[in-house]
Amino acid sequence: MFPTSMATSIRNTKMLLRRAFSIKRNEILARNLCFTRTLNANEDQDKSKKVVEEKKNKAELKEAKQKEAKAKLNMLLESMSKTTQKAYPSESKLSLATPKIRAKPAKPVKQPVFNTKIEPEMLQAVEDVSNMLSKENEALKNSLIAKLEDVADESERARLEPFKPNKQKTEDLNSLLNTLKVDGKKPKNKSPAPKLAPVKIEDMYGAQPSGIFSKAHFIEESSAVSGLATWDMLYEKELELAVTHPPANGFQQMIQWTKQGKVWQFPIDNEQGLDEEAQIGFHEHVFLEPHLKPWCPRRGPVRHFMELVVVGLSKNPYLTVEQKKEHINWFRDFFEAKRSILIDTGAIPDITTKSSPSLST
Amino acid sequence: MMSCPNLNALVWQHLFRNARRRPFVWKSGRSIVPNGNSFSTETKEIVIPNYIPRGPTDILEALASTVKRDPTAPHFKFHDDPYLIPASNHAKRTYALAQEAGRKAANWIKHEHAELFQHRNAEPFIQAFAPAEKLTETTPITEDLLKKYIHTAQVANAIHVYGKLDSAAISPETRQSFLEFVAFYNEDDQLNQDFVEERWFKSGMKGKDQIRQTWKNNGLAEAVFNSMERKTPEAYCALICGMAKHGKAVGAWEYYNQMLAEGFAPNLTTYNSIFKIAGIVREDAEHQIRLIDETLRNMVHAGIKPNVRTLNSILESISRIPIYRVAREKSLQVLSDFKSIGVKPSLGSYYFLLKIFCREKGPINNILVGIVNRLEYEMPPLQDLHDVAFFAEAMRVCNYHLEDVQLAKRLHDLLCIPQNQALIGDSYKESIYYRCFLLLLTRAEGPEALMEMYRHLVPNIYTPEQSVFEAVVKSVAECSAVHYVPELWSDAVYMDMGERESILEVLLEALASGSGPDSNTVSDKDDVDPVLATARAITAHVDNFLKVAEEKNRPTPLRWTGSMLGNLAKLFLQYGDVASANAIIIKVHTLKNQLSSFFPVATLNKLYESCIERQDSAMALMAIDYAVEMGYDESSSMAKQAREQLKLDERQQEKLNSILGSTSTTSEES
Repeated sequence: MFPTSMATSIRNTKMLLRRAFSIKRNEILARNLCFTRTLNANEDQDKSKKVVEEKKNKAELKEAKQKEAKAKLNMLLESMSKTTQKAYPSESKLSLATPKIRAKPAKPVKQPVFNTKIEPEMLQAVEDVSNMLSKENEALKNSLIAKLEDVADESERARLEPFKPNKQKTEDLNSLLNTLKVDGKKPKNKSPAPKLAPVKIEDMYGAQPSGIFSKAHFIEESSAVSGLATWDMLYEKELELAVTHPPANGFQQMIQWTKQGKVWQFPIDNEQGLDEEAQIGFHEHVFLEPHLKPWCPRRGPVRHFMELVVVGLSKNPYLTVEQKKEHINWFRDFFEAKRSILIDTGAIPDITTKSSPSLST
Repeated sequence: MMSCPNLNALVWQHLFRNARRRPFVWKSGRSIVPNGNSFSTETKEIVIPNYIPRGPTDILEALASTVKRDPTAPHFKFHDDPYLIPASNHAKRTYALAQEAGRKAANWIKHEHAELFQHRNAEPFIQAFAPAEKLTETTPITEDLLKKYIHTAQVANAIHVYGKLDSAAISPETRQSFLEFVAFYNEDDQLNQDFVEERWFKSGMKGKDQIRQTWKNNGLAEAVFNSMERKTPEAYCALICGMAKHGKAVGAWEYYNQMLAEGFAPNLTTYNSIFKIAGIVREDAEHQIRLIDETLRNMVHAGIKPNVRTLNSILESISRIPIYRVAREKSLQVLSDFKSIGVKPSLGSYYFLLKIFCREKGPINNILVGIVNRLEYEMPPLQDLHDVAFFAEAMRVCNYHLEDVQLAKRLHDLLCIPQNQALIGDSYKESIYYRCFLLLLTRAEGPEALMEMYRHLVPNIYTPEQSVFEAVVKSVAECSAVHYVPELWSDAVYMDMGERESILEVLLEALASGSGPDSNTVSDKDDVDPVLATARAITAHVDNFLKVAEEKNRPTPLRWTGSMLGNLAKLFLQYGDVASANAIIIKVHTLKNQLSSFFPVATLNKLYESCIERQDSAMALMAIDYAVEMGYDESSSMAKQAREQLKLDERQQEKLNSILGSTSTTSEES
């Protein structure tokens, strides 16, 4: 009964000690972590890769790590107790508005001590411990209180002094904390600004060029003449199909139909698609008399007839020039075939073998 | 200069004011006004602007760019009829493809019964409406026919004609053209380009991410090549490009070396193909980079200027280097190199950069921020087939890699510009894009912002998959934003997800996450809180569904579960809906062991307490019965409470005893 209760009360004191000590420490730690995390980000990545490689040894590693962590924890606790006993020479030199620190001689009085630096709870705990060890209870109590005061002094000092990270200590702590794994879900981040923003935006053109093109002289238009005309045509076709999606509105649908050749093209043009006719001028349709010149007599009923035919043809929009010429030539052949009758009737003058133009003059 | 008109206007105003007082200043005022402004009477030289040649679709494109996407309306391709507007992904796909099937059927009839469509009313004749000429025994086979088929990308017909043609009669140009044609398509017949829907739903991603060898070994392309008596450099180029395109890297590499040995100079497209396969013919990263550098030097030596596709091919090859550091450094160097000769990256280049920099297990890299900055400033034109893969990949990076909502929104704004909308790729990439976007929002945004974007996207622009929808509901539930749940429930029904157990679970979880009736919410005409109404609707929906399934003897994966009923009971108690709560107890009592999960104890206790309060001994007994059946520790205390606080008639007393009797015996047994 006795040793267990003592053990618990000692544990209590220890805990309280540590709590007083760690309140400030937590803050420092947090700051250190933020500070070092950004620096270590890249290293961590490399580390994690290595871990993947060494999967086989994982089990062994894990044990070793646990041992290591325990050792570190012990070391840390030791160092904590050491630091609390340290003397602070800077204390006296600084003329800050700190409460005066006096080494209070613990009085051998039984009644409860009012100590401003130490909470009454703690004092009670100290009292309990010392009561249990009846022999050296005074000495024990004094040393405990002294220790508590030390802690209180140090935390007070840390509060007032600007923070200076102790490199060795933070590293120890970080390495310890890195080995710890925290299970469970992370609390959900609902704020629109997530994470620590990455520090540097990767610059796409930050690198030094290799200089491969530094002395290059390119033949102009070399890219246009690739030599694979069909290949390029098919690539372009594929590229266009890659962005041809189901139309999202009526205009887009009309664009697709236009490209497929199913609707009139904009801007509206009545002669669209009449490509062959576009090669032929207006005058060729209208002025057809030159086609009469080689064979037709200059005057007389045949001429009269043919002129009417030509006028009619010149007003006909439905025939091509070729068809009109054919039409005229048909009459030429017709009159040629009926030449004898025409001469007999006097429709053309009876002049024997002579070229038509001379005939007509 | 800009202030000039204002200044003149001021001067003019000043003069005018004076003029009203002193008319003579008015007269002189005109001449004071400096020359060259709009008020001077001097004749200005009229400059007639140059004629701007317009393409046939330019006007339509200008008009189309004025039409914004309306998120409240279904897509244009669907019939504008409420009964025919699809909401689920499955329905969207089915409806669109059904329409396409109609088009195909019409096309088939046109081809099968070509004789019925020979009328030629239109002048000029519209070739697109004419049935395609069928290749028969009597069709005169000419070189022109071959050329026509090559031009219209009809692979099977072209191959047929080539086979029939006397090979000596084909001119070298046509033969070269045919070789390029066969190499490009790898002898595979192509989908008719009119069938837009089918292409849209065909997953374009498959096989493109990883190079698979699809090249037809000893196929027609190689046969055509071998049939050439004099191997021209172009023939080599066509074969190398074709092999590289269809994944036969080793073959392409062999022909490339053969070509160099013959002293031929490859052209730009061929060099690009070689860059693409550099990672396959050289396994080691170091050797691969050396090959790239060497090939680039060859290009410089030959005076061939690389283009953006060269850049993309190199980056594609680098993206396959597994070592992050090497890939990163080389890609940056290549970018700087290409910048020095004025080649600007396209979206495809950015796509490969993201693949290089933002790897799944690699360090976090924010290169995308720089890319989006550039894109907001200037959008590169479409130049490479990989350009369309950018947006999906970028959103994926935003979600899984950077988890940056602001960046995702900027990216989305870029895509929303009408000219950029076509760059989404295909339906598969589109769904990746929106899935990542919505998932990111569920994790990073509050319920208001999330629901705002959700309403914008769902259901017309995007229908969430089951997992995404669950994520949305969970996100809303975590903030106890119960007032959004009725809307989500109606969406779930609309999108055909109302019968899925996991969706119902999360919806009910979300409903019960609230803190009870809120006096501010607007109730419907029967004065029922919408949350309560939703809970009732869900209960009725599931009951009805189960009933129909039972009647038709149809197996269904949906069952009531303990947690679903627990959440419902909790909610009904919150809202003081006794009748519905009792209905839940009865359900629990009848289903008992059929429930796939336990009815939560805490809710059971609450239910029980409410029964005691109301002195409803029948319901209380049912609750005790369930507690005993499930072996909850609370059963004995519940029974005790029942004895003390409830007025039980004899039968009930008996029943209670029998329930408890069974426990005591079971406990003794155990």
